[in-house]
Amino acid sequence: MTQPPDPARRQFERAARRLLGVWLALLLLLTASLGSAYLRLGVFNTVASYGIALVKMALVVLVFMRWRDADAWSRAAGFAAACALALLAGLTWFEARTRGPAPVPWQVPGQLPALGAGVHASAIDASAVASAPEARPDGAPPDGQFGPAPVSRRAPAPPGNS
Amino acid sequence: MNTALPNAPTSGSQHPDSMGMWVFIASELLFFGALGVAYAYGRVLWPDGFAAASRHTDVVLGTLNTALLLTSSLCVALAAEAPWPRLASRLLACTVLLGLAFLVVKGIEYRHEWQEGLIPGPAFRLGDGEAAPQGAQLFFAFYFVATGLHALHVVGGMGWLGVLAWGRARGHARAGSGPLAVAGLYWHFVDVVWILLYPSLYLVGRHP
Repeated sequence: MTQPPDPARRQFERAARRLLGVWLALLLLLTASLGSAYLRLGVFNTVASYGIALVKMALVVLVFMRWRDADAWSRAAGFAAACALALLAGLTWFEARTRGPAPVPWQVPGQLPALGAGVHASAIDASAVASAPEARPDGAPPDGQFGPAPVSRRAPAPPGNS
Repeated sequence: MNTALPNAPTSGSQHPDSMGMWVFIASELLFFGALGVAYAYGRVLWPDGFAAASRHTDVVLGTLNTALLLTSSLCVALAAEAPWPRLASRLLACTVLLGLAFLVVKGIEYRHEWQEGLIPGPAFRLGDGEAAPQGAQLFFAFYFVATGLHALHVVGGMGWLGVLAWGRARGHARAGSGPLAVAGLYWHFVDVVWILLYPSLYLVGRHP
């Protein structure tokens, strides 16, 4: 193996020490992340696991990917993608907060049986209609159900019968 | 054949191709980001189902895989700095082997999950005889889609780095430090994606 000149060797040794230090820090953070998951911290379990993940990501991006050496256009591309992702997440969050989990009228809340389980789709539909909870007389949603009362799929009664 | 290789490594981020890679990474960020938003939506709607399902993933193998990928990122970063082509080639070969080990461990995990009936579909069950809570199947649907797509990215990166390792050992100019650093950017991004997948898939609802 041809020996590179001393300055290049010294530069590599310095870089290797820095990279090894970051790698050790990443492994320590991985251990901390795993350990914190087994502590009962409530909502801080999620905060800790994603907080540690963000620190690990930052180390990889800043040191391994050398973000600081990237030119302005490359940074702009990353920044634009982060903004678009934040917009996507924000719009999804607003949509989730403003639309209640109202099921369609003929569907009871819950996951439908899979079609491959030997039940035909129309049979599922019919059984769901039959088992759907009835609306209360005061017009409130049935117990255990969100949103408006299920709409009956039966034909409306003729006017003369009312 | 041009056997001249620059001895002093150049920063990958300063290589002309690096901007193309950063733009590609930006598009990938949106690709995996949309998956992440879908995951967050499901986890907010069905926290119990996601926690119950996550407890059925193999946290030991998931942690091992995270360590493997972090170590592979170290190898790529060292290879990009190495002034000796042969050392850089060996470090790249190590990266490919670590990527292969990651895929083997992932395959073992998939096998366990298949045996436990954790594949979404008519036969899905959580293994404890109880009805799966709402959202559990969706969690595993996300799990297989996200880890499968990530594994495809690992395979692509292994191929790319393998070619560079081969070319670097033989002194090809196209396997110089510039292309190596650009490929390294891609590999590190694959690592970053896994860093976010790890707490999402393996650490939910673990506390007693």
